[in-house]
Amino acid sequence: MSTTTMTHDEAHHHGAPTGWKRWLYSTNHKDIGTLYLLFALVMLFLGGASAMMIRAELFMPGIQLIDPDLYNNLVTNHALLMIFGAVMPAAAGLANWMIPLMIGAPDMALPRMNNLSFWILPAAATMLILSFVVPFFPGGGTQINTGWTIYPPLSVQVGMSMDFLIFAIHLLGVSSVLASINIIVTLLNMRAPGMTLMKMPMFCWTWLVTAFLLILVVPVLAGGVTMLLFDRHFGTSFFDAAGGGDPVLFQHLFWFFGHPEVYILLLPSIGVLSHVIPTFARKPLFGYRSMVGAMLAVATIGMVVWAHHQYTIGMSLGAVTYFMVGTILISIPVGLMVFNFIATMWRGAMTFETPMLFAVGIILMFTFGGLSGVMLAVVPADMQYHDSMFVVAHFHYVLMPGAVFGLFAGVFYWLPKWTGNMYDERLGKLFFWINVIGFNITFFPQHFLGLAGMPRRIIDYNVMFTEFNVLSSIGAMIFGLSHLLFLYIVIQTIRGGKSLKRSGAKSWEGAKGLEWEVDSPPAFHTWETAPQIK
Amino acid sequence: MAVLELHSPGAEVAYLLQPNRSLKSGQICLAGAVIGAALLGVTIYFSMQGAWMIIPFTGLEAIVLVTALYLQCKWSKQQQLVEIDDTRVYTSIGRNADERSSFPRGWLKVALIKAPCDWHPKRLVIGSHGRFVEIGAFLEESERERLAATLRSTLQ
Repeated sequence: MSTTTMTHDEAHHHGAPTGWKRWLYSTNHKDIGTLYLLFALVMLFLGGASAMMIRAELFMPGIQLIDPDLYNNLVTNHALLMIFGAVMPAAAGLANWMIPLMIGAPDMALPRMNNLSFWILPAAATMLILSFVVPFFPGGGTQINTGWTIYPPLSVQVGMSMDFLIFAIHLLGVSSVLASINIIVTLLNMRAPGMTLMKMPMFCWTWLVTAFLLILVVPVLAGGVTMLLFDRHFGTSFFDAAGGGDPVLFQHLFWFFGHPEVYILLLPSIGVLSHVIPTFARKPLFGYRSMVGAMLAVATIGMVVWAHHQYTIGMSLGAVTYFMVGTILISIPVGLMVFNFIATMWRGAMTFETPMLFAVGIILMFTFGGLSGVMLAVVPADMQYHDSMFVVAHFHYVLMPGAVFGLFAGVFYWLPKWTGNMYDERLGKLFFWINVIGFNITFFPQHFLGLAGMPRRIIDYNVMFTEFNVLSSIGAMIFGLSHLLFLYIVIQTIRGGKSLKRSGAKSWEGAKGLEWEVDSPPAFHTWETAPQIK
Repeated sequence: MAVLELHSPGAEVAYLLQPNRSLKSGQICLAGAVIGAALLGVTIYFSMQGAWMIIPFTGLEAIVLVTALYLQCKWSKQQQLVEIDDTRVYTSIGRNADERSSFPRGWLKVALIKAPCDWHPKRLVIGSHGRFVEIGAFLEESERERLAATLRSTLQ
């Protein structure tokens, strides 16, 4: 018998490629995860900058810094950048990094599609930024003064920037759908031998449900904005009452996407908490099966209660009653999740490293946001609160702790795994406290502003609202600037150095799961031979 | 991924190569059907409300989803068997041994062919007298290298 002789290079392990092509052509889940996370970080700062401009303008009554249309455009862009640019890509980044490691798969099921889903994002972000920039040029038309809900008829009337926004939404949708399909296929068919669905890590479960939600709701938004595009340019009247259309139909289409979107943003962070809390309480997650059930219930009910965002449009009594009851019902599975987290902590040997601080903060503040949500779910109350700053305070209390703090917890929890370096715990804790205090100073006073009657999306306000607005703006500056410390911590941890400890394979004493069995940082290829799960 | 060493009757040693898969084809079809049914429900409901323009989007999405599930299903059903006896080496490709080849053991070449681009995986081929069969294309790079080494040592 004769065999060819392998050269050293052939025998050597297939390592990471180098140079810019590594990132452009990457099909490696870890590289694509890193790209998602870096993209989200850039968008976080862009979205944060627009928020700080909004709060700078609202520091005092009157119009000081920007004109009303630009103000409304900033409100629109802040929401879109944060939701589509920062939170969703960051959650997708965590998914890309962690899902294959957690289920013992060598990579995502469809690696080339994974590359495509990421690289659509910068194109979409460019479109989104162009939608903001175009009105500054001659012939660029008016600013997008609709808010992120882009309701017609206003959205039919604004300038060409709306077309850029519509295409940006299409591209973002394509990216999300491709990523979701990839995640579903990976989780269904690439789990390690012995890992049944009910043995799957909770983070993977949350992403499976999130991906299902995305697949169901994104085409509806895509259809809605396409109809809007047709109304704008091709003479149709889908949303024009004068032509026999119905502007309220767009609201239904938008919120059929928009409400489940809240759970799309929320669930990955719930998944992160399901790992962080058991690790730092040194106890297994309380009620794994009930958590899975609760999550499925949240997703299912969440799909059919979208019109609670539209109580004031004049629905029938039966319809508003249905949407009210359905919305309040969601508090049951959500409450179950929160109680499971508390029960996991109960009598645990708890320590409070940065991820755990964020986890505890989330439970407290997200519950607070949930309670104001129950207030808003009640129709007669909502008639008063609708379109007031109370709603702004509510959804920031839901989405900041529920989604963003969860992502911070995830980043601090897995950063040692990704980089091989333990971040500076002292700085991590400092970031947590500045961040949380800044957040509460910003948004807590907005409850009172809303209850006292201050409307949202208005550049000017009555002088009676000045004190709380000053406080809120000061808080926003603290909150916004605290993210520079986060950036510093991340860069410092990536670069490593003598001041930082090295992380072993298992970065946290109480951590459990397959992801902690590979090196920190993991090799370019991991789990080439699938582990056996008992 | 899996490379299983089998004790095949009549063979000195046999290697079964197959990708790891966690769901059976029927279960994958069921998952696809559940998502498809939910998507169909959403499409019908909103189309009846006048938003028929969501049909192309849900349709396209369903096509991509079904294609992804089908490709993954097809990929994970691959199976290759390499049997080695005293004088010959047999390869069977496919679940029903759709392609079967045999080579004289003494002349067998095991070659890892480097791809033109460094990033592409190497190809593992075995054969002799100008006739070669590629095996383990679905394996990971290190697994393929290990398999090549194992085959060489077995054949010595």
